[in-house]
Amino acid sequence: MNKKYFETIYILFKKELMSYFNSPIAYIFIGVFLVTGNWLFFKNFFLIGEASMRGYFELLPWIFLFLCPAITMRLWSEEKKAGTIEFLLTLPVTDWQVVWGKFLGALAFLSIALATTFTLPITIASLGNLDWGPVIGSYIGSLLLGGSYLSLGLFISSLTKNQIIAFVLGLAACFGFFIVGANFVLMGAPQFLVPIMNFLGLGNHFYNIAKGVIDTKDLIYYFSFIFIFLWLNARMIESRGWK
Amino acid sequence: MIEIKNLTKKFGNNVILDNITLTVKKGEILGFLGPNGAGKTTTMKIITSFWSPTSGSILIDNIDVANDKIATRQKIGYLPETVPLYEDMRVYEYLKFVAEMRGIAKTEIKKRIKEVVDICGLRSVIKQPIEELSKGFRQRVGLAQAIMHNPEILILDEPTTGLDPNQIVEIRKLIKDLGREKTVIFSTHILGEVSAVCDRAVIINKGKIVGEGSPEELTKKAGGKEIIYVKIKGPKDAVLEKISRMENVAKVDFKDTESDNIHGYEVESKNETDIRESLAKLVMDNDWGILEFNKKAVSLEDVFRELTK
Repeated sequence: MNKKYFETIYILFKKELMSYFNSPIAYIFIGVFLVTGNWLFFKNFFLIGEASMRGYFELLPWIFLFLCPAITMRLWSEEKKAGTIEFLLTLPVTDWQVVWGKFLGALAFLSIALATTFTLPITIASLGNLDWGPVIGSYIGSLLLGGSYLSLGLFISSLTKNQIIAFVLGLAACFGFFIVGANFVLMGAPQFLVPIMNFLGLGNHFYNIAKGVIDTKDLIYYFSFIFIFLWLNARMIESRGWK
Repeated sequence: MIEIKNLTKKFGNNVILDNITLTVKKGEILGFLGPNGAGKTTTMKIITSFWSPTSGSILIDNIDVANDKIATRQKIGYLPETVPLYEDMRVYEYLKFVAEMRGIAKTEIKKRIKEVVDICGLRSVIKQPIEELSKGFRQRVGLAQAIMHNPEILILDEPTTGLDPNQIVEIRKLIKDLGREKTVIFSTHILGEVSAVCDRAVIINKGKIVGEGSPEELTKKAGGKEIIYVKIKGPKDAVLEKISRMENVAKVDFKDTESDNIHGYEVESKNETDIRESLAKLVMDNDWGILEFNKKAVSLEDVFRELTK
């Protein structure tokens, strides 16, 4: 774990981030993200007439549900299909470094997309008295939630050569983890499973943070979630050529 | 330089490599020959530590690949069978990424890329997106990628497949030039390539090494006999009879006819003896004339077919 180790991750990160902007993907993503998010939000904003972003951040997990697997779907499957994985993993790098590079690249891209929505709180603040606490909390929560989706999606992308499969499975898995702690699911679940499911659900932790209350419990949950799937990802990559 | 010891690779019950032992000396160009699916690519993937072996070990400069992948990978430049290029990058961008990943100092990167571009003849496409390159240029970018960090060892998996004849000659020349300073292992199933480029060839079939040696040695091993083609001006029957009665001649065959009195024959000698001189003498003594004389080599194709059938 010396300086060189992190330098390599940084080079990989840079390449990954650049690859989004090398193709039209990045601009289409950000465009669609902004248009759908803002339109769905402003549709009700003036009806409710309240200077808060709560509506927006209730919507965001659902938009991320599609956006994140779309970001991660190609990250491994394309390398496998094009054979570049053989080049990448015979460079003097560890599998872990590559996984980190890819994850951080995706996270940075998601952050850029998220940063483009800063116009929203600024607009709202100019219209009324905006409480910044929950807004900042929600942005942090979004990043953590998005990071979890990305980590999960990245892992799923390492399972297949096919981008479409990676997307659909990623979407399903993210949806599963998001919904597992939701009230209407918990109502139908066996009593002894409720606390576990409640804790496992990605959504519950998000809404906690979105209230503006940043609890270490939620942070630990998100960091472990991200780490576990990155670890599984590295394992998966390591096991190439075993079958 | 490279020592492969008892290398075995299995996928389930399917044995891909079966106990391969092989040493490659420094500065050698080694041709890896074999039919499709013989295990050439698998061996290369294991040497570059893309895959790990089921059992056995590989030492590169006395470093075990299993122990220090980073160190051994840094000594190797690798061109896989499917040229690994990021389609959405430009050639320069790609080479810069490779240079950075290979740990070339920031101040040296530009200079090194320029050198590599000159060696591989990429100057005209340096700014083009990789997806627009022709097959030949793609192969060269792949090669540029492999030699970027000036590795001691080059591993090239079928570097000439899918190229047109001119490009094949160019790439072969490039490999030969690079092989002056580096240890090169390259795989192919084109036999002419081996005699054109290699110092030594290894023939592998169904995961086992079935032949090894310089192209000449290999031909000799499989043949063990010498065939001479001779065109003689003289009566056919008499010539055939006299030659077959010569010492050390195993067989003589009538081959072709040029005109009434001129015929070609193939003479096979016994025990690898050189019968050219006595054959010439025989012709002189009988007042015939020799019009053509050449030693017919057993081709590498014959060896290959012999060893891999």
